[in-house]
Parts: sequence; structure tokens; C-alpha cells
Amino acid sequence: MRRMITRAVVLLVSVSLWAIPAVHGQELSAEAGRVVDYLLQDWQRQFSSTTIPHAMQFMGMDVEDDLRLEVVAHLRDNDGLARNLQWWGANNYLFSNLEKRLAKYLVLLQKRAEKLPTATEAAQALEISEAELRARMAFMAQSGFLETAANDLGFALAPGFQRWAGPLQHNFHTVRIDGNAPLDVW
Amino acid sequence: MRATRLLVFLAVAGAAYAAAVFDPRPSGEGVATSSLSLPAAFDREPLPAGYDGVELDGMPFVAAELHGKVVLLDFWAVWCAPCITAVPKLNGLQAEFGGDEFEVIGYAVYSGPGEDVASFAQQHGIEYRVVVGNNDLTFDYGVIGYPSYFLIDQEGRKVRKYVGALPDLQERIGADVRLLLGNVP
Repeated sequence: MRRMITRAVVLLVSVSLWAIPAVHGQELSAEAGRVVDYLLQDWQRQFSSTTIPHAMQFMGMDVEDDLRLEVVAHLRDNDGLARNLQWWGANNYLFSNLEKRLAKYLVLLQKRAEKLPTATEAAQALEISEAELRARMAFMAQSGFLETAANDLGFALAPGFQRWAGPLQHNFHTVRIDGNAPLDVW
Repeated sequence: MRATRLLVFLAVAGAAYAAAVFDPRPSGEGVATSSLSLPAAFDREPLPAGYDGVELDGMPFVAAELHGKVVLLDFWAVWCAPCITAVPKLNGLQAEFGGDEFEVIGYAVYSGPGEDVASFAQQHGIEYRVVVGNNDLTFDYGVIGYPSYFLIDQEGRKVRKYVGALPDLQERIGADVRLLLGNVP
């Protein structure tokens, strides 16, 4: 009887450890866990590749930057959770469509060897406010795609930016099938 | 005056035509062609990096060991539908030319662990060598779409790049392989 109880306790502890894996040594928050669960379920659908911000939106949550970073850190550390992560990498799932547009814009300028724009020019090109642009760039710097720089924009592409988003390279494809929640596809 | 201009134009055009038809380089450096429908010569460039990887049995794959062979290097991924559609054509190329002089290498990138790639290759009847590739190499090779094929000559130089789903893949690449192998009728 005692042996059975011991086994049950060991089993329970193992299951709970498996269910809430550590992120950089910290426990995954309940909210982040819900997002991860949503994504893992969503990615089981054929062609589905829903991003973290879209998952949060579809779940009725606010798209909070810190929560996104927590989720992506967990996915980076646990790429065995889904084939999508092994194929395209966790970073591919972090950015919103606006951030992907911004990333593509900066990468294109770099590719053409053009001077980086001022914040005003970039905001105009992307048809967003300067405040939003700066907030998005700050987030993208936190994520490792950009870095702060002493230029008119205040940011530059971080070393290794070409490899950062894996083979999908900031492309986004959000679709909605009649009557169903939207999803991103690859 | 107008006649002189016309003569100069004809002379320049004639020289360009002759240069296109007759390859002045000694054999081995370029491929001489007997028909205007075939390329006068291949532009050969060094590869940006060796396409080393890991064999499906876990052993290292060293690209330099293929020196002396013409190689069709296929950058593909298990999630890429056009890559899968191309498998029978690539099997065909391997069957037609494969051996001591030619080899198709299926260079799997962003496709997960080797076991997944191996089971996928078996499931889809791939009959040429499949290697688990180095993802970073896609950037060095400028791969922006899948599949991307690189035709590599016996000296390990790139001679052609083909991108995407090619309806006449086997005929088109087969013609270039024939030229490289010197099997032009």
C-alpha cells in the first residue's frame, strides 16, 4: 500500500512537472500556459501555423508584449512540443502582422543598401503613428531582432537578423474559413 | 552615312552571334553547343560554402567527396508541397543519369530530426540520397523559395539554379546534365 502511494506521488509530481515546464528556470505563468495549449492544439490542424499574438486575440486576451515574450521563450526552449517549431522556429510565431511588415520594410532597405529612415519616414511608410512605431521597435529589440542604435531611427537590425525568423521570413497568411475562428497558415 | 551605320550594326550583331554560337574555350572549361537552342556555355561560379550535412543513418555527409561528379543539389523541406510533387521527376533523373558521373542529393532543411526526414523519404518513395542539411546554408546559397535546385559541375562549381515547381523539370535539368556530362548528340 505504502509503495503504491509513493508511486502515485512520484507520478503526480512527474505529470505536474511535465505540464508546467520551466522557462529559463522559471515556472510558466497560467496565462502563458493557456496560450501554449491553444497553439499546440491549433497547430495540429493541417496547414495551421497561428502566431502567438493571434492566438491571444482569438482567446479574447490582450496582446501583451511581456506575455508574448514569455510564451516564445518557452517555445524556444521546448521545440520538441510541435513540428511547427522544429520546421520554422519559435521566433516565427512571435510578431504581429504589423511587426512583420516593419521587419520586412527594414530588411528590404538593408538589402537595397539604402539608408535607414527616420522614425517619421518609417511611420509614414507604414501608415502608423510614430509612438506606435517606437513601441513596436522597442519590443522587436527586446525579442532580439533589432538592437538600439545611434541613428535617426534609434534602432538597427541585430546581427543574425536574416536567420532570426527561419525560412518563412516574416511572411504572414491569416485566413478565415466560414464560421470558424481565423488562423494563420503556412 | 546611314549605310555605314547599318554596316557597323551588322558587323557588331554578327560578332555577337558568332560569340554566342562558338565557345572559344578549350573543352573541359565550357560546353560547346551544336545548336542555337542550347546554351553556348555555362556560367560557373564557386559555391558559397560546402553543402555538408548528416546522412539519414547519422553519419556525416561531406560534399567534397562528390568531387568529379555532376550533382543536382535539391534544397527541400518536408512541409513543401512542390518539393514532394517533384520527387518522381528527381527519381527519374537519378535513374537516368545516376552512377559514377551524376547524383541527386535531396538536402532537407527546416525539416526536423533525421528520423522524421527518413520516414518521410520512405513514405514518398525517394530513391536518391537524402541528407539532413544545415539550415544556415539556405542564406549562404540565397534560397528564398522551395524547392531550389543547384546544378553543380564535376569541379564543384555552380552552373545553374532552378527555383520552384518546374513542370518540365526532368527534361530541362536532364538537358543541362547531358551537356555537362558531354553527352550531346
